[in-house]
Amino acid sequence: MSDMSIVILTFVVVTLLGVPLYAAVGITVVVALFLIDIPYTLLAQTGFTALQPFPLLTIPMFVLAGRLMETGGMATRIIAIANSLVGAYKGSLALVTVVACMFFAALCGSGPATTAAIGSVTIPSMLREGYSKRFAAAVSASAGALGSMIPPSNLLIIYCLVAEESIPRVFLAGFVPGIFVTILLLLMAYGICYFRGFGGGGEKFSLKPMLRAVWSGIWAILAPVIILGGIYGGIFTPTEAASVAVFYALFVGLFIYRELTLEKIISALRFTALMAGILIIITPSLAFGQLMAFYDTPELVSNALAAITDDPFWVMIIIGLILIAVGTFMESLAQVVLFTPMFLPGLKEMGIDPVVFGVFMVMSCEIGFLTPPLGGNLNVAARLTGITIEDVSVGVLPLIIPYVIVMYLMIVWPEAILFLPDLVYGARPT
Amino acid sequence: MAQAAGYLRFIEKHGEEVVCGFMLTVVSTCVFAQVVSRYVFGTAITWTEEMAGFAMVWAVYMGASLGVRERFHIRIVIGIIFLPRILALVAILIGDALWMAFNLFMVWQGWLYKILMWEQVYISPSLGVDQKWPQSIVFIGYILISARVVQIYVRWFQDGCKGLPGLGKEVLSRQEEVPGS
Repeated sequence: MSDMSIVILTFVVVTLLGVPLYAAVGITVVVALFLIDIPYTLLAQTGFTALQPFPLLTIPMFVLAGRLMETGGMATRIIAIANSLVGAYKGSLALVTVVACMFFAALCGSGPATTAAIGSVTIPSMLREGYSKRFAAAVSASAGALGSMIPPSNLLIIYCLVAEESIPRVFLAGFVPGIFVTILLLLMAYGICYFRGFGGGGEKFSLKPMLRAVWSGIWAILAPVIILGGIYGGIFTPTEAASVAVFYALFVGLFIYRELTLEKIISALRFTALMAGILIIITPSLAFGQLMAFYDTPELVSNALAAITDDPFWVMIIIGLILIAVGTFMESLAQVVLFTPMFLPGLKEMGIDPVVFGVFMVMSCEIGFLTPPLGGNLNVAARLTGITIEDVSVGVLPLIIPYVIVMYLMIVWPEAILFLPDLVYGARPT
Repeated sequence: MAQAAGYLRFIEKHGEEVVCGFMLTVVSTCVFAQVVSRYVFGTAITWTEEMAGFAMVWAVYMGASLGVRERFHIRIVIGIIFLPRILALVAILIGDALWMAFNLFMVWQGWLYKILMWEQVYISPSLGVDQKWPQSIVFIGYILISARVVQIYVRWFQDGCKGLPGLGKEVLSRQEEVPGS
């Protein structure tokens, strides 16, 4: 058996035994280090250095900010604005959920967190209006996944760290696919509501109530303006933007909306603490990524792909299918850290832009959020509605289609993604 | 004596939470201070970046230890939960033994690395502290994590070995938030 297959086998067996993923990757790294005789202190070293990069700090800060904005009253105001925009159509509450998730995604970098923030408000109202539980949960879960596509996005930050890409550039690339998915989700949700007869139209759209909703939610709307405007205006780095988001959320929650209490702040910190603990998975994963170069893995992978086809289109299709399959059971942070170094070198040689691949990778992770056994959004939505994960995952199936369509579009029409970053930062020399 | 026990109980319950929450506050404040100093006071402070980085690592390890108690670490249990109880138990015991072995291995490596750092003095560039102090968190963190795993088993024995250790019904629902992603 080759060294490489021993390493892979170790990982599969250890993972299936239910060892927490960080330790499963860690054990695999220990085996890999043993086989090629590299000192184990590498693990202790990355145990510290892997967590230190400045851009990584954005992740806990955006989680904290998202939690503070949610409990501090911004989420409900965003929903009110969404309601004034799309509330008039058939299935209004489902459409409101999608639009509100899109807005909240611009405040927060996480899919499950977006589902929780918006779903916890819109799901009970949907149930009151006679939507089926399964559909209410499915809409919130699928729209919540926008949280990781529309910037800021924790997954895109991790991708940038691993692929050594510019964060603002990749963030910009997330916009167009994010909006595209939103539109498709709206159409899909409208169609389902139309045929199943869910929900009525709300009040007719009129300018005045909309302006009133926007005015009362002005502080919530300003948040993404400050965060993203600050980054693209060159006022601060993405990491600094995250800290601004935290203090902005505190300020608005405490002094403007006055819905934040000390208790809520502490519970937000506690929530962030648990989430920060999950980041430990980055330490062995990064060591693993470094080791793969020793095993010539990227080369092996691209050779294997080249043996099947040399058409970039089919290569991307195959990689997309692999990533979606892996995403069903793999934690998405780990997925990005482990698979980026494996695929990216070969893809670069084929002339695929790393920015495109980053967005593509994250899109596959979002489908992973929506598929059992490990689907973050499904779990949140199931908890909010009180039905089983299996039940939600059936309901969510038609709503995964928009994500698949956009993934496909990314392959055939990457220019659409690159358009914005190229416009702002200029085209990259190829 | 009772008071000491009370303190201990508090540390068991909230120790990591308090340290982690504090470190997260340090991270946010340091980074924010950097922005404020640049735009309000017109000077650039550099030590904040390093301080925030150190605090970040500490926060992660404290959170990781907390996550063991709260069953928050991501693990794939689909392969075991459908097995008959006795097989599932065997699988879990083997898996947890491996997990524990890895944690102890990291304690050992963390210690070796610490000694390595001890022999030479690495002064951090902007804060001017000796790197061995912040870096000792790898060692400390894995000790805490190991202790929490042992705790799971102690509690399981005390409960009369019911169910699967560290894998109640709640584990499946706890996987829920995975809020990082």
